[in-house]
Amino acid sequence: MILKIAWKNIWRNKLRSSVVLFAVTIGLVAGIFAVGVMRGALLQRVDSAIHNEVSSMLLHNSAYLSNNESIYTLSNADTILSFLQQQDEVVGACKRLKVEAMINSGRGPRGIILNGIIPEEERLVTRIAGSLVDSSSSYFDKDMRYTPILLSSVLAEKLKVKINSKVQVDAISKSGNSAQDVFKVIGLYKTENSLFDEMNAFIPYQNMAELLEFQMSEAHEIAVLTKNIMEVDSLTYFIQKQFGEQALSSELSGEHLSIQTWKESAPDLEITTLYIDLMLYIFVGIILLALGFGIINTMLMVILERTHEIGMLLSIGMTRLKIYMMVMLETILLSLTGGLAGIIISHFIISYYSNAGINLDFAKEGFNAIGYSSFIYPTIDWLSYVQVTFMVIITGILSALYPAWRAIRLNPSEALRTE
Amino acid sequence: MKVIEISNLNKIYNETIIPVHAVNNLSLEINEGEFTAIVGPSGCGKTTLLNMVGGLDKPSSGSIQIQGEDITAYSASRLTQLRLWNIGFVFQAYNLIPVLTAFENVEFIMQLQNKSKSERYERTMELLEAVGLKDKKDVRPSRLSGGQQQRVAVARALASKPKFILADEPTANLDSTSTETLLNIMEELNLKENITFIFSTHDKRVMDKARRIIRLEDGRIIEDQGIIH
Ligand SMILES: Nc1ncnc2c1ncn2[C@@H]1O[C@H](COP(=O)(O)OP(=O)(O)O)[C@@H](O)[C@H]1O
Ligand SMILES: [Mg+2]
Repeated sequence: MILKIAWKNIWRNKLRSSVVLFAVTIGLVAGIFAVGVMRGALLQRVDSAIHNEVSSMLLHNSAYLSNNESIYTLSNADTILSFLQQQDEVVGACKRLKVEAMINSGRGPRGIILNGIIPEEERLVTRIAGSLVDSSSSYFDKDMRYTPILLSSVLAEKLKVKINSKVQVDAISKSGNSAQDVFKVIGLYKTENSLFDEMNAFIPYQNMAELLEFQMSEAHEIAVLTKNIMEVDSLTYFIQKQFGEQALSSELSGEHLSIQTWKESAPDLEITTLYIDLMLYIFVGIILLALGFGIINTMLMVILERTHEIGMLLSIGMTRLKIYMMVMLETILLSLTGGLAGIIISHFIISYYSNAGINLDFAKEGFNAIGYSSFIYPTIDWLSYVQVTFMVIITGILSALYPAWRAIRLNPSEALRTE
Repeated sequence: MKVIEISNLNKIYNETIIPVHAVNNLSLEINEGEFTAIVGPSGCGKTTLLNMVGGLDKPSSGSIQIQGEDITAYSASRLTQLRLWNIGFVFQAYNLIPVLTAFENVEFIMQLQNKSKSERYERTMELLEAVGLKDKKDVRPSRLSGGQQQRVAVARALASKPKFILADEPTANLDSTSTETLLNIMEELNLKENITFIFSTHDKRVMDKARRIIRLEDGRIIEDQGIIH
């Protein structure tokens, strides 16, 4: 009965209640949509970083990480690879040679990281092949007079080279000799991270091993992509158990297998994923705080207008507790109605844009410079809606405290004397 | 049987610069089945007196006994229970909950008493019948005339089966026809069901209906006619 009265009371002043409802609805739509957009952007960033840069985990020789010298390889890379490829949770694993090199197109040299990759394996782990924006051939074709090289379009522009241009690459071989070769640009790739793009060039693993005197079973890096990026710890444990004790290099001691999950190799990404959850609280929280003051104000007006009526209710024997509950419920229902409307509308808007995407092309450079895509697909999960609903209810309760207290503080005989 | 016994009751309002002695050393007894009017000009203390009897306001001194118990020392929550179970109220206007229908307004008080649904339904219909508004049961107060609203208020006041009904100027906002209808209904309930009515008024026609008239002036009784001992 109290619930019924509370609900009907909302509609006594339709204009005023509608204004509050509208404000709550609009506020939440704006807040949820903004969170959805940022969430989408961050998830895309994480996804892109995983698929282009750090994978689920990266394996190195620990000395390679600390000294960054190309002599420190994983000598048993093929054994590790075949172990990984048998694991259920592994989508793909690939080995890479990675050496610092100078690239020259006749316009002065630039420092890069030369990656020797096996396209068939690499394809399962990263999206470099999928992000070819321009190419004269499919990935690396065999039987070419020149060794093929894959550059990013960003780097190509800096080097002023095009598809089929020749570039010269200089590097130091494993045994310390300087080596050089001329490569033919066969494709231009583009990820959402322009910094990564500028630094990385790709050539076939075999050519690189031959050029720089590496064994065919050696690699500097093994990249692994797992089905669920959030569950990498058990796999880490298994790899450690299997290979952690094995010697990596006959001559050198103090080297061991280093396994870096994406959380370690890109700590910013982990913070990003944490921030995804926090963002909802921050954004929607601030909006609800502002709306809360509006609701308090409205409810105080309501109490003032109904002074006589509350006096009457107290007189005929309604307890103060029941009156308190009635004001509480009215406030909560008012907030919740607006809240649910906001959630439903947000859901439709986000659903639409999560398919269509939002094109922020005008700011493309800026987004790409920090590793973000300018084409954003907003997303929000069901848990967020549940959280928003709770936040709205809490806002309703908090906003009702003061007005409800004012209502029960009324003295019945005085309240009855007011018109 | 004595329903109410008031002795040496005083109410002084101190909020203003000059204290107002609204009820001045007043003593009074009301017996079961009375149909009593408290009369006097505006400002003579009628509302103040009725509010204290109804437990809505605390006296400055003196005692009010309802069925032998002094209510002046009751806590706020005990007074609420007293009002819910023992006293029926009818005010000058705006007696009803605007969002509820006539039926729901009468039923409401029995919901506060946690009465069963069937009992509530029966009694509500019976009372709406008694005040001649059975056909208006699903109508909200805003669509009832002032007289009809006051009749619903009387039905509501009776719904809790109170010991007596306090009606503070129940006809002040009504035209003469509605006034007469309302008074006839009240009188009939009083005569047939022996319900005790205490109402205030400064309307001559209303006074004429009362069997006992207590005249106030400056918070004092100056005349008490028709008292039945
Ligand atoms: N809350 C109050 N504060 C100060 N004076 C009051 C208050 N309520 C009533 N009075 C005064 O008490 C006197 C009696 O008022 P009231 O009981 O309302 O008379 P009536 O109902 O007969 O018109 C009047 O002089 C009125 O001005
Ligand atoms: Mg009065």
